[in-house]
Amino acid sequence: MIPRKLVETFFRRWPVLLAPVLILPVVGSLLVDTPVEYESSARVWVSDLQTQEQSNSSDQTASERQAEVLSDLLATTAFRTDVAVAAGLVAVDAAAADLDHAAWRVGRAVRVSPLGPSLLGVTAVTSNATEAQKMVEAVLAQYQLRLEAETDRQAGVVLDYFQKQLAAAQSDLSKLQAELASYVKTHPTATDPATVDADYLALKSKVDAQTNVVDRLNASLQATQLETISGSTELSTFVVQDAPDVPAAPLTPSLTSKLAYPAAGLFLGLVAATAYLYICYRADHTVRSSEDLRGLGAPVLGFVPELRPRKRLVMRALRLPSFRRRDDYARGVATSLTPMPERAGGELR
Amino acid sequence: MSAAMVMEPRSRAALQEAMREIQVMSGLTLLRQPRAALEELDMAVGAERLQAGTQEVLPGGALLRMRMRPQAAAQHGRPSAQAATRPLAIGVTSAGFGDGKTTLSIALASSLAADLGAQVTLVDADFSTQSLAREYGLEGKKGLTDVLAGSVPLPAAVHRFLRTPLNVVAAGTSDEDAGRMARSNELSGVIDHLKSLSGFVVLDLPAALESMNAPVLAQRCDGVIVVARAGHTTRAELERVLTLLRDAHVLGVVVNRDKTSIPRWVERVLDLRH
Repeated sequence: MIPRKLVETFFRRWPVLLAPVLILPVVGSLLVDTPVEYESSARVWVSDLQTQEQSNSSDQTASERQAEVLSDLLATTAFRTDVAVAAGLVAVDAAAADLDHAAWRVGRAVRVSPLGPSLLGVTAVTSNATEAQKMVEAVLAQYQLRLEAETDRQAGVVLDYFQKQLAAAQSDLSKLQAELASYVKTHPTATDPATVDADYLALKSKVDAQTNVVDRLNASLQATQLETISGSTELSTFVVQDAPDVPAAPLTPSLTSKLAYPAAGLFLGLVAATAYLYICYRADHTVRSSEDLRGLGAPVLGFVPELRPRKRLVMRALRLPSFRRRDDYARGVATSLTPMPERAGGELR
Repeated sequence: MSAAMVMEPRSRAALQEAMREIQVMSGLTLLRQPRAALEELDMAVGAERLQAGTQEVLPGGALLRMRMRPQAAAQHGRPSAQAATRPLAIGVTSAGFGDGKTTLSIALASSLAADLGAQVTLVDADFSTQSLAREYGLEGKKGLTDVLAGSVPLPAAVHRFLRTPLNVVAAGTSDEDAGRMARSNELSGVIDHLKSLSGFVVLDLPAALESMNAPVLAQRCDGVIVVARAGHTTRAELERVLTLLRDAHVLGVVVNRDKTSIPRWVERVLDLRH
């Protein structure tokens, strides 16, 4: 059974209890009412960067891998700063604090997500439409710059390797050729097809094999040089299909985001109101009902209701003398029982 | 002109409604019964009356008997104020100031006089505040302390209404020590004298937690009503009051200025009881 005092506390303090339940959702609604935001996005076609063997060993798609790479880059301050500078958010020679703030804005605004197995989405949400578009462009441009740099670095390593290998192979070939020429000079009959000179044949075989090695290295070097020149390696895996454009209209907040804060506010308001009600109930040790008088050892004779005039708010607000405070009313009632003036000799009439 | 006609009709109706609620008369009626009748009534009413004492739990017969006008009671052979076998001194006290003991004393005395037609003497035994004298405009008039000091005879301190059988004795103007007067044998004599003049003597006692005279004065009464102010008096204060009055005959507790914010339909739905 619900204690009467608890119910009494609820109805006596309902305006205070109702306040957080009403105010906090409103505050939540005001928090949701964020500034207008614009979204600009680009779609990028990506192919697999890994070899077939590596692809088979992983469940990730090309877009997921690229998204991870780009997200990792966005986690670095240097990349975000470059993006901010490229987008015109901050000057390159700005103070360190401004650069950091701009980099933070880029990190907060830009999101990368895979849209399909080979499709990557790069999105920027800011309060300025042009800024959002420039931010996405800057991200793509900076990413491509880094890809080019990485490609050049890797190509340089490969070219250097092939060139060194080719030089060594050619040196060996020259030595073998000199050795063969010297042998032919000392053994003129060795080149005669009618005779069979085993040493000559072995030496000639070595020269041919070395010649093949040199030819293959040469071919590889040329192919690498061609790839470097044509740019047909990494860059070919990152092609912007839909370039970012300037958004014409701001974003429309979703229903979930609209209701989340008010709902949270309502919940908090209910919790606060319940806590306040419980505290008031527990802190109230005054006598209000027969429950509070139980066990005192004296019977409850009854309850005298508070005597007060009917509520006439306007009259009370005007504080007219005929409407006394209710505290005085009971006494007034008692006094009105004996309104008779005193008679001489101690008698009242 | 009857006594009821000089009263303000709305005020009197409100007061009567209050008196119906407090059921003070139940305590008085029981107090006036011969021992056998009292036991009989206790058996009829049962333990519920002692625990709750509210109108709802009282059996209809007992309730009727307690509320009956003297004439009707006589017709039914029921006890009434006029049929009382001995006069009574009823003290009214409370835990603190402003709980409504003076108001209840006035209401009780007036109701006894008007409704039962009993001769009632209302005495201001709260020497320090003299609130009763203020209510009746008797400040500066001779009263109980002057009688106890021997400066005036008792009849000179009794202020009498012509149209109702109600007498009022103010606290008085004497500067004698209130504690000494409360403990004096003269006070017992004065009370006995007033009881011999009236069917009821209602004493407005000091607040029990504010004056050490309250328990002493309460012991001089045949019964004491403790007034608690709803939403103001704490249970701990009431316990202290009842402890102080352990040697007195406490008739019960009246919760004064009771007000509720609970709508009636909520009370019905949740089955809330007072």
